Amino acid sequence: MKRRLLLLFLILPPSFLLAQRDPTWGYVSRKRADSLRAIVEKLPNDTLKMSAYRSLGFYYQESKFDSSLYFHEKQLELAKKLNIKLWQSDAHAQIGQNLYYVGDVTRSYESLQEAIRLAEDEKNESSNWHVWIFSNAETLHDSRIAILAMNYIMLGNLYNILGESGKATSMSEVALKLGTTIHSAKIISLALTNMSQFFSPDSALVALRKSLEVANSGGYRRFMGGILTNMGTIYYANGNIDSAKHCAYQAVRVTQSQNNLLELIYAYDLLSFLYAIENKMDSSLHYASKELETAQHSGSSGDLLSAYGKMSHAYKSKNRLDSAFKYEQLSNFLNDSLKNYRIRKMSEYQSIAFNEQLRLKDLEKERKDFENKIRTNTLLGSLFTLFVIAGLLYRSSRQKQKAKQKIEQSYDQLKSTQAQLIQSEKMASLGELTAGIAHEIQNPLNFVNNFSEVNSELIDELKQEIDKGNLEDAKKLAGSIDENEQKIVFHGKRADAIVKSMLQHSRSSSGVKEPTDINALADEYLRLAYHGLRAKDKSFNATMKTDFDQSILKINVVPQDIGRVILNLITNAFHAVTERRSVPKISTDNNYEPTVTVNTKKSGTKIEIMVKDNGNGIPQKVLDKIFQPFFTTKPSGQGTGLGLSLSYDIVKAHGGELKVKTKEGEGSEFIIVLPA
Amino acid sequence: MKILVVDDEKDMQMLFEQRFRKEIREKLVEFVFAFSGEEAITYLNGNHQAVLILSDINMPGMSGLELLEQIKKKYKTPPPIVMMVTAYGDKENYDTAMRLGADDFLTKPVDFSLLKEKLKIGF
Repeated sequence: MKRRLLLLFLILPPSFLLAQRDPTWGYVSRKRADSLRAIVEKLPNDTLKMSAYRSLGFYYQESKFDSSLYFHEKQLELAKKLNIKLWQSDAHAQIGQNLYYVGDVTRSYESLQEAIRLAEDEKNESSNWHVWIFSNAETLHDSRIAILAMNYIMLGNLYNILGESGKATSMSEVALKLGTTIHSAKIISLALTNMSQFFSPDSALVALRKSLEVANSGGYRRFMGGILTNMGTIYYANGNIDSAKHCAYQAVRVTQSQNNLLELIYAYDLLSFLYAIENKMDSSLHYASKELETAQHSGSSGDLLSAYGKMSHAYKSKNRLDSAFKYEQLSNFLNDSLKNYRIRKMSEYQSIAFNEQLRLKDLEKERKDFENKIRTNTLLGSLFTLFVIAGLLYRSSRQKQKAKQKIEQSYDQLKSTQAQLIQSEKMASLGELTAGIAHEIQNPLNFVNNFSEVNSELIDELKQEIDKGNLEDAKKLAGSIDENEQKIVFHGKRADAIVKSMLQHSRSSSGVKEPTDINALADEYLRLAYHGLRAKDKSFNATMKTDFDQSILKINVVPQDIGRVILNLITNAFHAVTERRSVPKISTDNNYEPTVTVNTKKSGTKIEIMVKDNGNGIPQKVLDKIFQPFFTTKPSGQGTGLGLSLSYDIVKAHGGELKVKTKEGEGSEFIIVLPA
Repeated sequence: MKILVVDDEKDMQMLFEQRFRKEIREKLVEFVFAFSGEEAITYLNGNHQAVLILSDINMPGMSGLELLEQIKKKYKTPPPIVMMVTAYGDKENYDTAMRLGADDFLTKPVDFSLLKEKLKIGF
């Protein structure tokens, strides 16, 4: 029993015994680490074990990465077993940090992402244990935010190593924001330190001094060495080598006392560098070998490489070429293998980072979907059923999400195919029109050209008559000129309108409704359709009849769209009568007179446009298919099968109806009903 | 010389009258107008004679080519001269018109000086 109490005392000392309550910054003494190591396997319960592994992981974090990794993995294992989500998050983050120290950026990235994912989820707030470990504030929420902020800081460090300074800064900014919301001086200081490297030297110094101040006053000394080394670097950049050295010495002292090998290496590195600058090669060599020794101890290849470089440089300056050569070779060898390793890891990281983006997007979608479902169901039942339903919904929403994605994908494909088909349908009907339009344009042009030639002749004559003083004839001539002039203007406008309507037809529909004269529209497209078909098929002929209700005022429609519907129906009608004439089915067809009738009628609040033919009619068995997309009775390649389907959609979109009446052997009538 | 002009464009009448105003004044030509193939047939059936028929091709109802065919079949002695005037100067139209016995083929916009040349030389 006595032994047990002692154990508890070691692992969970009451807060007054701890220098600070937050071991994230804490410094685990060698003595405490040794005792923990001795007893950890014998600890009576898993939560205590988990906590002990975490402390051990921290102890080795700046001195031996593989050991640290091992203990944090143990922490993770237990946190998973106990289902304590925030401790899992913390373990993932610590593992991620160790992994980037050993250069495995890929796994580091994955691990940190997982840590963030776990800490981001508010639901995991309740899944914690000893919240004060992570935060000074004692609420579940603040504790989770503190973990999340730390995770972002570590991810920022990783990005920094990867050279993605933009992302590194934004991660630090996120951490700074989070730290500010929970008033955590520690996180603010850390974030500022990290951000300072992207500041101008002066602002960076200010930020670092502030960090140092926070570290000193709060007793959070763990990162002081790093802050000092950074400050030293900035002093050097400002040309102040003495201050730089002063900082480096302080950093060495602090980190040695903490057994923080990682930061110690940086401090030695800076010292060696500064002495080399001053050309004091003995001192430079001294610190380079200290750096080398420490790096060999910590097992960080990157630091080892840097130390080799320093050694080689120092020996070279001292003219000890064989030693310089030895370290250069070592450096080259390590550099090559590191480079290969890094290239491999970087490319792994690239692809993973990309997949991660995709996955996050999916998750976000999934989450929103899920939340919506939950909200709806809150109304439905008791809390218990809610849980059951939510559970089920979660599963089904995951499946649905997948199905939905597939459907959305197919839908997008379908939409683009449809757009293409609509365009080709339009171009096909445009093709039918062009010939008609050519004809329609030559006619007005004929008048414009000839009447203006006549007019110039008449003007000559007019001058002559005036010279002769023959005013009576001159007046007559002027009258003729005026009349001709009016013809020129009229036919010029006619040509203009034809070109405009062609452009309108080929252009994508503006989709804008405007007051439109339906009778004029129907008449225009009737003419165009007729001449278009005549241009293609010389033998084509049909009687056109129109009966327009003049009481129809302009109605609001998209003229290009409704024009297309009318054109389509009229073209179909012409095809129907042509077919009947070319393949007479009924004996009385000897006197068959192909006739297409276009009528408009106002009835109440509706406008009807009727396109009627006396063709063969539509067989009953295909009647219910004619509005289906891709249904066509034409030989393949001759019709898109979209004409009627699109027409139907257009009329529907106008709040109208497209109806058909047909009798086999007598003809068909299509009726467009539009709101007036 | 009596010329029958067949075209569904009503302004053709005014144009011809303006273009040939001197010739009309000097009674060198006389114009009759029909605005469809059917109207032209009615006119010809009414024992009215025309030496020259200028016909459009694309018209609602009876087309200019059908009219040409009928005229060439029905009025053998002496066959009136039929000149097609069309916006469609394509080969197919031209060949059909020639096969059906058209005497000449003009395209719109009509070149009246050319038309006058043809009238002077040919007729």
